[in-house]
Amino acid sequence: MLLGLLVVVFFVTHLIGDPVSLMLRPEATEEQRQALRERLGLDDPVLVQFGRFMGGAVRGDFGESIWQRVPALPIVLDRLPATIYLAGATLLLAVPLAILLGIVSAIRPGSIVDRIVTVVSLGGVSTAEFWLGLMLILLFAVRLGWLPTSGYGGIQYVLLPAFALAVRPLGRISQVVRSAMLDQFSQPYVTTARAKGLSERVVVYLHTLKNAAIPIATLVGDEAASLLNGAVVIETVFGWPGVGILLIQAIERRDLPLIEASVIVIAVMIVTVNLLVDLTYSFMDPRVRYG
Amino acid sequence: MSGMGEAIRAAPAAATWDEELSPRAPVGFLRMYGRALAQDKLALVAAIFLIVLTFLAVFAPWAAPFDPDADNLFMRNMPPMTMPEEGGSIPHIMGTDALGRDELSRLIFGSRISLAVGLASVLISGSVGTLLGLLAGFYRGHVDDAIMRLVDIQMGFPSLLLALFVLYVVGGGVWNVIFILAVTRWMVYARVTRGLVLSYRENVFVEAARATGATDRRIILRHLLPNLLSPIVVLGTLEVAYVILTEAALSFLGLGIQPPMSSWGLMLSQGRQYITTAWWLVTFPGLAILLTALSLNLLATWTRTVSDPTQRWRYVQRSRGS
Amino acid sequence: MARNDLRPIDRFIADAAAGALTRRQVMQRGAALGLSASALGMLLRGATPSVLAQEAAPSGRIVISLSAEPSTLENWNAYSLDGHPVLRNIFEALLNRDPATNELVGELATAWEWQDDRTIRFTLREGVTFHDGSPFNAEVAAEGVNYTWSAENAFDITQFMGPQISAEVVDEMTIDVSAAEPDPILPARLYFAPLPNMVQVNERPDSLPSEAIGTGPYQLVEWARGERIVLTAYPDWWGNADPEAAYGAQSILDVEFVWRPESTVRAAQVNAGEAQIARFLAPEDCMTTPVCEEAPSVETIFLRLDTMHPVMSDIRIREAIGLAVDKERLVEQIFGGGQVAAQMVGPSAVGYNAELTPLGYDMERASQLVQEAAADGVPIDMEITVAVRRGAYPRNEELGEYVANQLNEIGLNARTEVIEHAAYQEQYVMPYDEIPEDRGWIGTLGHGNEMMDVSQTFSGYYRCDGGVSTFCDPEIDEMTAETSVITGDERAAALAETTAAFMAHIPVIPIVHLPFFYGLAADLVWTPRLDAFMLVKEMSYSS
Repeated sequence: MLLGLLVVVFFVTHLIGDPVSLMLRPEATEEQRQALRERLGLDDPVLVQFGRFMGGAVRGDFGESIWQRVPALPIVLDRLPATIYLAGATLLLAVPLAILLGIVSAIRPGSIVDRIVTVVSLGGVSTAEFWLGLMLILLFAVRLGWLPTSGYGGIQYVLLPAFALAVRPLGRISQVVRSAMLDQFSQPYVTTARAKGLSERVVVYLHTLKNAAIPIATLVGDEAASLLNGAVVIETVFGWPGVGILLIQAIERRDLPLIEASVIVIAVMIVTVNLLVDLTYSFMDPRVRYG
Repeated sequence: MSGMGEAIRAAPAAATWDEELSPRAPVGFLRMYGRALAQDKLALVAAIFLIVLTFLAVFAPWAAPFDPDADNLFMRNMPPMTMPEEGGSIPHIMGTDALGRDELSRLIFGSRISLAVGLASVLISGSVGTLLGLLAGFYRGHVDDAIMRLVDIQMGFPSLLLALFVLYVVGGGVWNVIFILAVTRWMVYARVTRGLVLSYRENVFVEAARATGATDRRIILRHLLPNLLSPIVVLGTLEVAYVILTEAALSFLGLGIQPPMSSWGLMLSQGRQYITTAWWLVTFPGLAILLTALSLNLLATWTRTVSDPTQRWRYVQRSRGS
Repeated sequence: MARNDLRPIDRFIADAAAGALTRRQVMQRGAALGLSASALGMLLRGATPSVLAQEAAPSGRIVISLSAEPSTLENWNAYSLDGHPVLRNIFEALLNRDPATNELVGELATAWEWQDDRTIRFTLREGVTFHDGSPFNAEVAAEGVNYTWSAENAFDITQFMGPQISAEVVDEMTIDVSAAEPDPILPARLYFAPLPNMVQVNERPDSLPSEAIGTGPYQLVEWARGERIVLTAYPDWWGNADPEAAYGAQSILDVEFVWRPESTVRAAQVNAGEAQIARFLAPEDCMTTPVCEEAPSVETIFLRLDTMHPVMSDIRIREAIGLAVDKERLVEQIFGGGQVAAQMVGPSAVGYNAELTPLGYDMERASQLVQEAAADGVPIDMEITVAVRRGAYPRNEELGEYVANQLNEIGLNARTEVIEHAAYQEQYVMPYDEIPEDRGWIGTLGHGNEMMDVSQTFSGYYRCDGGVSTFCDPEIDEMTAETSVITGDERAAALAETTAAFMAHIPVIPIVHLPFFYGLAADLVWTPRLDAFMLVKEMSYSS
């Protein structure tokens, strides 16, 4: 899969434009452009460049970033902790709360509580992140002075961006939890469990949640993947040095080696997350086996 | 199934079972829905909102109080309810934007693009994703491997890079935006569907169907798909909001809807530079997106409750109590 | 906030009386405001000596919030908007500009003299050392010039080079810098290029991108990529011994650069007390900061017309386009300040033509011109694209939409297109004879004249072979070739005449000499420079 991605990434990045015209001012002369092209090895035939790229990539060498002039892979790896930190904090905020809200609203569908949860979670899903991020900064950092406006650091720095990012997974996951729980409630085994005289609470938690876990795990995996793939907007707003903002800058500058390295690193992370989700499946529901 | 029918009927896979499952007595069925809707005030409001919105979008040239493109630098960023400079009886109800254009009129015209983009891309990605997820979860083995590797590649590939690529190869425009959004979101449905199918296929009802000699096709269409629909439709309504917001991000990067065309997403990202000075420029498009998503979702969950025989009692019971 | 309401001269007197300024700052800023030396002397005597900052040891800390991180800390990157705020504090060039008058003054050179029309002899400053302790001398300087401008290295800065530049050693403290062809603005080019540490270049070239070792007042402490860059005052800086020549002093000890792409967030940092300067703010955000400084820049915003297009090849249409754009209102409302432009460079540039006036705003006349052209067979229905580069400068997208609307109103067929950076650039730099006739672009972009000499603009926009020219006229070509090599007193007038001849063809519609907006903490004393350098040696605190 990674090999396939390598090929796709190479050709896509080489088709979307030429870094040289971005590095020079518009007024630069043709000779200055040509000199730069030669230095970057962009005047070779595409297949030669491709061979060079694949040869290096399998050894983890993507070449030097055009923009930063240092090897590309270490730049990306350097940003990885920040991305994982923010994604982790976001999920830690969002997932437990989402499951709780989902269960609460599934117990009495159509009730006031259910309605409130729906409105809140839908609000989360439909809120533009940048708007929420800026509002949080203006309120908590400038007006109240409780937290720093932005930047990278300890828990006080991660709170605002994680909160701004958490509302969307919170909304999505709680809605899916709710509907998965409702589905499970109509299954015969719930009725059976009730008939056995267990308290409803135990029924809810032990049987239902466990069986609803698969769609929930899937969605959490998706949200984790999309957080890793780039919380670009929030990283931009908060000046958070993650992989997402790095990739966007690399794309804007057509920094081919850096784009390639970023995409591959992100892909490796996502494959890992997916593996974890699959493991969760078989853990949650032993009937599901892989092979 | 009329309530969520809109969302599902367009799905290629849905055509067969829709016929089979459609109610035997449509008149009584509709009446039942009508009664249930009248009882559920929130769902009623949601339905009315969507109807009004559709009406405004379709009849935008007549519904909009002003020309959405008429600029006036003297009337830049005027707060809601400001009277137009040239007089008249209608104020700028939602204020004016950075070029002095009427915000409400732009919102009405923008709804055309936003709704089209949101619904079309959700329909496409939803049906493709659900179908692939079904196949992967049902057949497992090589089919599953192949589809899930595709999902992995898709998820690992940054959507912005993909958008740029599409733009370079085929150019911009509304249809390409829809295409980009559909391509970047199908795997969400595929993964959820596959996860559900994996758990259902071991369930009693599937095992029972198989024991009675049902074909794969019949099991998928009659037993699995109906059970998948409610979570998928609910997911779809959430995706509408997500897609409209993603379109905003694309527009902002110069990859989405182009002015003078407008969309809620574009308005939202244009208003962001004035977040501290002109709150109405982000608030109203933001509210429009929120209310649309909320209404769609309320209707979807409501439909699902009413159409599910094991849940319908909630309405019956309530009507008995009142 | 109150300080900002004062007229510049009142603010200056208030600052001086409060002892917020160094002796040098009093002299510079006073002179810039036209105060006489005796008036300044009185002010200086009034100030208590203890607060004349230059005598005190550096203390305190400043955080400067930029919009982007520097890509590399190599010396040549000091040409870029991202690079120079950091790098011009670490590195120094042969020349700099007087912050008050913008005249070229010595930095690492103490004197310079033209030998012929291609060569300048520089006398270098004594007692200068790099931050690693290695000495600065003629050999290092000459090698540094050759390295920075080398055709082989092809550093991005070479785009500011006219004819090839090279240097050779004359004696221990003297070098000759020559251009391959006569180049009257050679000194300005050298002011733009600070000199590297050749010991590092030769022995540890791998360390160059991340480890900047210069001669400047501040040395690099740490670069946490993606997060911040920290500098501290270099104790052995030559300027401590000669503050007059250094045009500044190490009043502040520690400097931290951070970057936030969002203007609103940069302003919030100043408002929350996390940063003392926020650069490149949107005017609306700047108003929220304790002190908002609006400073002129070398950037001019303009519309560039595809003159080969069947519609825009008609000069009446080009005039109509100019008349349809309400430049005054745009400057006032959209750009939040600045000066309406009548040409592509501001008054600071040599060759600025003070007699040119902008085309007025007259929709009626514009429509009439379009009708006349249509009557003569100009196909006015052909589409014109107002091409906007996303995020090129604040309000760019709004300008594009406005222009397209206005053109439609006078009977042309225009639409806006917002284009992503790289795709835009590809079109924008297309040579004149390769541009398809029916492209019909109106490009909206800024032109920065960092050399402060209009001949820099000639080679980009005026000439048939200009890198970004959409205009071609043999007569103008001849004029630019002749006038750009003129030296001495006639130069300015000759260049101005060329500009007038170019503008008469209306190949571009200048809109505004763009101001930059800086948000400052209330107690920071600093006046932004025209070249937008952010030299910490020119900053101090008032308390």
